[in-house]
Amino acid sequence: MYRFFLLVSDYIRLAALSFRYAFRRPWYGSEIIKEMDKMGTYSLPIAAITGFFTGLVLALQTARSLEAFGIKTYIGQVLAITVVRELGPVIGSLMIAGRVASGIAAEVGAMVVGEQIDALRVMGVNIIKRVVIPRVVAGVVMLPVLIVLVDVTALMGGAVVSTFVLRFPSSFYWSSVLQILTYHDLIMGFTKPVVFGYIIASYSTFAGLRSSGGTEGVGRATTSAVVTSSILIILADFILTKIYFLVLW
Amino acid sequence: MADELIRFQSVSKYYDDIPVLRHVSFNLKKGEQLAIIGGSGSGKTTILKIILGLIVPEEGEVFLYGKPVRALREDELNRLRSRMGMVFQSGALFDSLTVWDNVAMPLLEEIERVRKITEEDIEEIDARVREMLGLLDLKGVEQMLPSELSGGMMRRVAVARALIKQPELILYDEPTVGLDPITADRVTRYIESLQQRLHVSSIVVTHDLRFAMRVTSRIIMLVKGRVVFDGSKEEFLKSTQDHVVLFREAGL
Repeated sequence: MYRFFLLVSDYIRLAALSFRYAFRRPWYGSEIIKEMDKMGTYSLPIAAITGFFTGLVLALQTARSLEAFGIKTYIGQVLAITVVRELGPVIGSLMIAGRVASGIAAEVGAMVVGEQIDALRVMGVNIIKRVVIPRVVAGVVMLPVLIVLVDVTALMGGAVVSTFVLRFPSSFYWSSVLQILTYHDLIMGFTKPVVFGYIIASYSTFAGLRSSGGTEGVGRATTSAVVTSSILIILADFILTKIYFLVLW
Repeated sequence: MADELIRFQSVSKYYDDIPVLRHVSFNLKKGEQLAIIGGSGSGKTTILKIILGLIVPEEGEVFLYGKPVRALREDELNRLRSRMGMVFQSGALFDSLTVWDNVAMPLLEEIERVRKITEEDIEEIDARVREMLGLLDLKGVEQMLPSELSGGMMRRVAVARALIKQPELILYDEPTVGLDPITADRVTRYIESLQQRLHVSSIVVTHDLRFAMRVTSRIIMLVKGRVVFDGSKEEFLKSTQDHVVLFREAGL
């Protein structure tokens, strides 16, 4: 139990320091861009595929349920709300966490094992600024962008089912999607990934920095990064949804 | 005391309750070249990491340039660290950066901390990087990645990076380990000639006794975290102490 509290307090300390140092020199702009490229560009296929197939399956399942109530025509509305508010941000973030969190933890863990982190500290480099902040900034900026892609491809998947299985005109589907979405839905859908991006990047960097015991330790850090980031995303999603309902509706 | 760079006062360090260093005491004066020898797991590397403030001992006190490390703030420690250079056992080069970037990194970081890097800075740094690489017979490798270098070249690049800021003290962690005898001999010769040319103080951690005898004047021997010998090379060669005799017979 003591170790758990120690872990939590260490993580909170790192998260707090990453905020504190984010506004002080040096800013390592090129590192941030490099991390954004790694996190964003290479996650595009996984985001698009996840979104499209989630949309397809969700549309098929929802259509069946709606048909039982004789309200099949609401497919666009139901899909839009579900995807933009919840499924897009959560499923997209979980999938991207699998790729990004493991990559960050393995990379930072290898830097610890390979003594590169020690080398940076010997040079007087602030590890939070050089290693943590570029990854956190990249996560916070790139995850919302990737979630937009997940949402759009998921709605496209829904469009495929709506057009070719349910035989609704495509224009009907898209107009019902656009008609139902409000600013509140968009705020909810696009601010959640900012928090999830922060969680993925900060926790996986933290896990990497804590790795010890050679390659086995790096493996443990990688697993911990993916598992804990995923749990934290689900937990944060519940808390954020509750807050949004209190504040926005 | 004024020319004392490092002082260890009865320092003990434990990893998961297992003692790695037990009441280790020694000092290093300006201009001195010290070798810390001993078998694997005797606590040699731990001493270097304690000197650099990378790990904190449970007992005892460490003084850097007369200041107790325990009482220093991170920025004060960084200022003292900038007067030292470290060659890590693995080289600790950054795989995604070129040799030039790796060697120039300490200088670039130093400038970036206070202001934007200018064209003039780059020109000046470039001249210093090329000069340092030249000293270590590494001309023409500036744009290569560490993965494209041999083990010996990587070690020399690590030495160049440690020396680029002209430190007063340089710490070497097993600089010849894992190298074939010919390459190890070349690296030893480079370090030897740099010691003579640049007159920096140094601490070399090694279990390669031949190397230690060539590049240092004083030897400390550790056995299971305890100092069992501290004296000159000559005294080491004459010592009749069991551990020293065993190590000498196996290593020379």
